[in-house]
Amino acid sequence: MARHLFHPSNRRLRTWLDTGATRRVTQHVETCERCADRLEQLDQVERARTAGRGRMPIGDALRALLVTPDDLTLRVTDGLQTWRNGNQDLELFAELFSIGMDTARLVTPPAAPNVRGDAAPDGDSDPADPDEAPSA
Amino acid sequence: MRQGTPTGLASADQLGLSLAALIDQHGPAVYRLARSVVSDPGLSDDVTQETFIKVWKHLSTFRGDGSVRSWILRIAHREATAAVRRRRDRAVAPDQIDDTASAPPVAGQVEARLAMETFRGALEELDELSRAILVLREIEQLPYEEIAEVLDVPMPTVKSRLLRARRFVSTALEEWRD
Repeated sequence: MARHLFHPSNRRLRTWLDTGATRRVTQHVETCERCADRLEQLDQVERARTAGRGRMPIGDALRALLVTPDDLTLRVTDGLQTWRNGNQDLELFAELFSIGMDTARLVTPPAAPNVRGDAAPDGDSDPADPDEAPSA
Repeated sequence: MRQGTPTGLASADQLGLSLAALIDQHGPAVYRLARSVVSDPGLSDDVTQETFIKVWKHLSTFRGDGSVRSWILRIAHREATAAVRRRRDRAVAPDQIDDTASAPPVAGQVEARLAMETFRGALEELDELSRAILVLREIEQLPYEEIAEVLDVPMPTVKSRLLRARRFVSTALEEWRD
């Protein structure tokens, strides 16, 4: 973690919370644990002052905006099953002709649709490749 | 509601978790995180599915050093940012992006719809990382440490962006009374 010799004043931190100014303060608070804690304290004071205004809580507003489709689980499960079936066929094809999975993918048309019905992107050429899937 | 899983277990198989159960338990959080990053509901669906395909591929190798939730959300965030990158590369015009509004909490109330649109506009002005932090904290109730782990950013970044994002969007909620 970066060590800082100088830290913004409370007044500058309050201004940053309200306006996001300046870029220099932004860079500082994003790397300074001490100032991130100070920001939290300043924010708590402000929240206590403005409490009881009857404003919609942010979490509730976000939930209303980012509502999850009712059939999400069903569609994802179905889509995954389709993908697994396609993958099993591909493995069989690769084994039958003694070729690698990448080659098998190249010589067969994409079969697995995603939840919207488009052709599924090739997972192995994806920047977020499964081989790079974050380990816990 | 906290949905973390006990740590220190050798593999997800040993946890006795079926993929269906994982989708049921973490699907909504994955979708919301994806939606916060990509905005487009259809693309969020795709990201959710791609995330669980990767989860299925790697479930047997999951070491169980951390929570299953963090692991899945990390994959989801990477998938979502990759989707945004692909969309940018294809240079989709903004009017092609589906931004269909979700139903307001009280259907038919014009004020609620307008307030929601104001809130949506404020959210869109935030950067993707700040939106993701806001959702993980305000909806999923993740602790700071876990958010930092999921998004692979330092803790002060999580705290400062969250506080700034809260302050920024709260002004848009002035007219949206509960």
